[in-house]
Amino acid sequence: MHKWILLGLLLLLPPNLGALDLSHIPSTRSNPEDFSPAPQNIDPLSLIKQAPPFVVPDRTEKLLTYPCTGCHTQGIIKANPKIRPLQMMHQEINLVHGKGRFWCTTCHSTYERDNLTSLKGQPIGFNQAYLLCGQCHQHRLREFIYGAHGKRIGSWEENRTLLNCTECHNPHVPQIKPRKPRSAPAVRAGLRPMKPPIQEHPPFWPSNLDDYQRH
Amino acid sequence: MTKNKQIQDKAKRLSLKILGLGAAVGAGALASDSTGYPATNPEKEWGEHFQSHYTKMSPEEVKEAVARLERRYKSQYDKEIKVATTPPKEHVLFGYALNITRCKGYRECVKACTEVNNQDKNPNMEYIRVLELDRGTFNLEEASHYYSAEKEVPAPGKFYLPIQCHQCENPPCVATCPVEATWKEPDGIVVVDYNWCIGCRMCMNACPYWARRFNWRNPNLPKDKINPDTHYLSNRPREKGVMEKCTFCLQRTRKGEMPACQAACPTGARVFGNLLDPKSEIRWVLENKTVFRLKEDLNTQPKFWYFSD
Ligand code: HEC
Ligand code: HEC
Ligand code: HEC
Ligand code: HEC
Repeated sequence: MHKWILLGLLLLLPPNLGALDLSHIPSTRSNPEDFSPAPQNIDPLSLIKQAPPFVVPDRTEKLLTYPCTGCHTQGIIKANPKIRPLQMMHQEINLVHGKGRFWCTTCHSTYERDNLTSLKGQPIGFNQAYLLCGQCHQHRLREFIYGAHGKRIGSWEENRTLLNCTECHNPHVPQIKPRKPRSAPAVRAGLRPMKPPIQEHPPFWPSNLDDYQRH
Repeated sequence: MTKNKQIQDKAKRLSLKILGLGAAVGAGALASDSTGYPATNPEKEWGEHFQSHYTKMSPEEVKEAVARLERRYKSQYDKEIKVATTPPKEHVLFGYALNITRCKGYRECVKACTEVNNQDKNPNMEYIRVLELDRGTFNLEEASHYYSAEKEVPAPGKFYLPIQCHQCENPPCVATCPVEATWKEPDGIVVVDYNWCIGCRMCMNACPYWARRFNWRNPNLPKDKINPDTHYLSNRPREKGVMEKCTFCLQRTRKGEMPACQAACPTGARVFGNLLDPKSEIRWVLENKTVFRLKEDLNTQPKFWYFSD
C-alpha cells in the first residue's frame, strides 16, 4: 500500500530536478566555449627537435643479453604477452619501476625484441631509451636535452654528447641507491686532528682541559 | 709596460718578500716536527729567481721560463712534466652551475680534482669541500664537510653543497694581493703566478668562500701521483710558501675538455660551459631555472651558481 503512495509522490515531483541546471552559476570566462584542456605532453621526438642537437654513446654493446633475438625468435622462444612471473630467464629483473603498473611490454616490444616500444607501439632503439622515458617523464627529458638533468661528457664546446638515461638509472629499478662517499677531508698540515665524532663540537669544559695543558 | 715600471714592481715584491721572511721562518719551525717532507725548497736556476710576472714577460721570456721549469721539474721529480701556456679562447667566459637536488655528497669531484691538479698528497690538499647540511636549513656555519666516509650518503634529512673557487667577476682575493701575483684572466678564471706569489696569504683571508689553499711546506707529491699534463697558471707543481686554488681545471678547459670535477660527477649535478654562448647549457640553466649564488650581498659576483629542480 505504502509503496503506491510513494510512487505517486515521486511522479508529482518536477521532472527537471534530476538534471542539474548550471546556467545560473556565473562563469569566470567571458566565453564559456573557450574552454580548452590542459596542455598534453609533447611527443618526445618533437621536443628534442627544439633543442641543440646531441648524440648519446652506444648502449647495446654494454647489454649482456643483446641481441635479444638470439633467443627471442619464432623458432626458439615464442613471444608470450601473458603477465606472469618469469621462471626460465630474466628472474634477476625485479620490476620496481611503476610500482606494479607496468609489465615488460610497456617498454619492450612483444614481437620485435631488439627494440623498445613507445606506448603507441612505435619501435624505439635501445640507444634511444631517452625517447621511451620521455613519454612519461617529460620534464626530466626537457631538462635532459638542455643539459640540466643527466650529464654531458667529453668536450664543453664541440659536439654535444649526453649520457643516456639508462647509464645512470636502471630502467627496471630507476631509484638511485645510497652509497658510501669518498674519504673525508684530511686535517690540514699543522692542525691537530679533531676527536671523533668529528661532526660535533667537542664539549667546552672540562674534558678539553687536558688538551690545553698538553700544549 | 715600461722597463722602469717592471723594475719598480720587482723591487716592491722583493722588499715585501724579505719583510715576510720572518713569518716564513716561523712557519718552517711549526712544520719541522713532521717527517716525509722535502725539507728545503727545490734548487732553482738563477733565471727563475729573476724572471718577471707572467703577464709582463715577452713571448720569448715565457718560453725560457717554461723551459727552466720543465728542466727543474725533471730533476726534482724524475719525470717529464709538460708546462703549457695555452692562452684563453676568444669569446669564452667560463661559468659553472650545480644542481643541489642532484648532488648526493659522494665526493667523487673532490677525488678527481686531487688526481689531476698535483696538490699536496699528505695530508691531501683539496680544492672542493662538500658541505652536509640539514634539509630546510641553510646555515653555512653549521655545515660539516667532515661527514664520515663509512656511512652511506645521502644521509636521511641531509643535503649536500659542494663549494670551490667561484671565479668571482669581482674577486676580493685579486684586489687584496699586494704584488698582483693573482689576477683574473680574460676567460674569467682567477689564476696565480706561483713564481710571483710571496706567500703573504692576504688573498686567503679575503676569500669569503674559503677557496684558497696555502702550501705551508713543500708539497708531498710522489712521482706516480703527478699529472704531467700541466699549465703554467694552474696545475704545475707548487712549492712551499705559495698560494694555490681551483682554476676550473684551466689546463683542461682551455683545450675544450670538461673540468675534472664535472667529468667525475656520477649524478650529473654539475653544468659547465661558456657564458657567452647563448646556446650553451649553462645559459639554459641560468635562464630557465631558479639559481642563486653564495653570499651575493658581498658583490663578489661569482660565476658559480646553484640551482634545484
Ligand atoms: C638466453 C636467451 C635469452 C636472451 C638472450 C634474452 N631472453 Fe628474454 N626470455 C628468455 C626466456 C627463456 C623467456 C621466457 C621466460 C619465462 O617464461 O619464464 C624470456 C622472456 C622475456 C620477456 C617476457 C615476455 C615474453 O615474451 O616471454 C621479455 C620482455 C624479455 N624476455 C625481454 C628480453 C630482452 C629485451 C632481451 C634482450 C636485451 C632478452 N629478453 C634476451 C630468454 C632470453
Ligand atoms: C609508462 C610510463 C613510464 C615510462 C616509459 C618510464 N617511467 Fe619512470 N616512472 C613512471 C612512474 C608512474 C613513476 C612513479 C612510480 C614509481 O616510483 O615507480 C616513475 C618513477 C621513476 C623514477 C623515480 C623513482 C623514485 O622513486 O624516485 C625514475 C628515476 C624513473 N621513473 C626513471 C625512468 C627512466 C630512466 C625511464 C626510461 C628507461 C622511465 N622512467 C620510463 C612512469 C614511467
Ligand atoms: C620502464 C620500461 C621497462 C620495463 C617496464 C621493462 N624494461 Fe627491460 N629494459 C628497459 C630499457 C630501457 C632497457 C635498456 C637498458 C640499458 O640500456 O641499460 C632494458 C633492458 C632489458 C634487458 C637487457 C638487460 C641487459 O643488461 O642485458 C632485459 C633482459 C630486459 N630489459 C628484460 C625485461 C623484462 C623481462 C621486463 C619485465 C619483467 C622488463 N625488461 C621491463 C626498459 C624496461
Ligand atoms: C648522469 C646521470 C643521470 C642521467 C643521465 C639521468 N639521470 Fe635522472 N637522476 C639522476 C640522479 C642522480 C637523480 C636523483 C635521484 C635521487 O634524488 O635520489 C635522478 C632523478 C631522476 C628522477 C626522479 C625525480 C627526481 O627529481 O628525484 C627521474 C624521473 C629521472 N631522474 C628521470 C631521468 C630521465 C627520463 C633521464 C633521461 C632523459 C635521466 N633521468 C637521466 C641521474 C641521472
